[in-house]
Amino acid sequence: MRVHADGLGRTFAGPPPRRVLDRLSLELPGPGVHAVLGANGSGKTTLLRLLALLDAPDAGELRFDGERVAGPGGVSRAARRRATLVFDRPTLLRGTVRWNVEFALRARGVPTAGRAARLEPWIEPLGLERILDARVDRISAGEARRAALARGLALDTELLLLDEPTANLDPLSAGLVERAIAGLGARRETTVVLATHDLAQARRLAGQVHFLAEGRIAQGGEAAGVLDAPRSVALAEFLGVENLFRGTVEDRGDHQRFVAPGIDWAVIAERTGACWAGLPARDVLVARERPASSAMNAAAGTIDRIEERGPMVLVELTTAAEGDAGPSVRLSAAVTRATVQTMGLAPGQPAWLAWKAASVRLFDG
Amino acid sequence: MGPFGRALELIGTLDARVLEVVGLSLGVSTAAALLAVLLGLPTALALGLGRFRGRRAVRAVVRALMMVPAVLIGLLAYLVLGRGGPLGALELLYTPTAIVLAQGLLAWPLVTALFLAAFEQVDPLLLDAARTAGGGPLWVARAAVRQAAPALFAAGLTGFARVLGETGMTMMVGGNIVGETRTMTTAIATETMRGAFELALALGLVLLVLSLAVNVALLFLEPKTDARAR
Repeated sequence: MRVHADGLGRTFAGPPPRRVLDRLSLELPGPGVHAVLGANGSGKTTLLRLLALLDAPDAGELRFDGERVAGPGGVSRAARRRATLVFDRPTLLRGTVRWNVEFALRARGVPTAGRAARLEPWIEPLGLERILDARVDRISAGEARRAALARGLALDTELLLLDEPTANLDPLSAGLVERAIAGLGARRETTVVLATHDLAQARRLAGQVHFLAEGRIAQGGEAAGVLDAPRSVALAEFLGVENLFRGTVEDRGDHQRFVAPGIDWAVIAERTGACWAGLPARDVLVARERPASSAMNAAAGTIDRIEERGPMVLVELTTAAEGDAGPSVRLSAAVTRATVQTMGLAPGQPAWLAWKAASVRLFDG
Repeated sequence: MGPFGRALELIGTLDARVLEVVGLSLGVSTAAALLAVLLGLPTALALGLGRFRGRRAVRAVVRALMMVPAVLIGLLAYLVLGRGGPLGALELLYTPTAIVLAQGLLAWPLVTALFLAAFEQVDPLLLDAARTAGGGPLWVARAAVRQAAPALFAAGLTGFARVLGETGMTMMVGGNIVGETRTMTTAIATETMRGAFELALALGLVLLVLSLAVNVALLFLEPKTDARAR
């Protein structure tokens, strides 16, 4: 199913009123897994509820295959049956797991004979064999999440909306759920919208990624394009790009420079003017003396902090304030543990940082 | 043997007068409670799950109706069912049916308010799950009723206890006719006034035990602490 959202708005009554979605536009071209990526509170659930036609937007409109199904006037009840939403916490009624799936299928009007066949394909992939006939107050929250997912899958709708389907699940359960979603994506019959804050999961499962920030899609498109080349500072922050600064790109004839208080870096830019610059810490080299290398940018300063970050070590340095260059700024570099040991890096010591002009990424506000 | 001993004897020997009155009382009050449930369930579903203008006002009215003294409802029922009333032709006054109607009307606001409270305890997301499963309002209502079932049953039982103990109104519309419309409470009142304490005490004891039984049942229906495996 093709989903087209145009200028969706949704504000929650106050006080103070909160504008969660603000002129959000989104195009899902058809079957496949589409991730909606965003931080907690970015509006992912609100968007999913609109797409499920559970709530009406207070601005904009929503179309399924070109047909208008929701707007400020309300939602189409008939079109609601083309979608289903699996919530981010278990929503099972009093009764057994099997009864709950049956109830949903009955509500959809699936005849008795067809019901078992709808659930059957998902029992084993989601590991439900043991809990199928258990009462829902006798199973764990994680099991209930998987059961609720099975119910959503059994409904077999054209549009399947999954809200953080693996949040709070143990790795084994999360693996089962991800495999089920990947299988659904591979069949290319269902348009799956996966709301997640898990970058790695979006990378693993989604063909398309839409990044939601400040109530709208800040960037969307092919997963690799979005996740490897963020264009907005919100996405850059979300992706963990370090050393973000607001400043201006100036054209110096043969090259461009990014200028901000305490910063004057060589950059490669196709435009000039106000923007954000981000410098991924893993692209920054640490040296004892001014490096003689192809890197066009270097800064001297004092190490403030050395912090373990998974397999890497983050070295934080405050640059020396020098005359016209302005105040000092904090920069960080990611190096290996071995580098820290062989160089004997420690807080309080002087050091140099160096990086290529091409490593600096420029973003819109 | 004092009146208390004779009362126990009446219960112990399953005295016909005692059985008759207790049987009638239970029958009438059960029917009245069922009537209140029958009227209260759609009212509470509409008020609890529906979205329409004036919903809050209607809820306030239901709460206010709970405060109406039983004797006024008795008066209303008397005027409606009595000779010359709109339903006078049915000749229901001084019949068990009249008691059922009046008691049902009395319990309706109480049961409705308790039903509403029960529906408010249902996680709204469960109802959204029924909606997103593709069911219409009827399926959402079914989900709500299923989830709230124990609390709904408790509400019905509370309505039953309320009307079982009702006296004045029952006397007004039932007429307290021996063997026909004499309930436990009206019999206790009459027998006490006559000075026939042993039957009054016997019926009083039965009423007490029934009330306690309802209370114990309600205790068991209270939601238990969440024992979900984590």
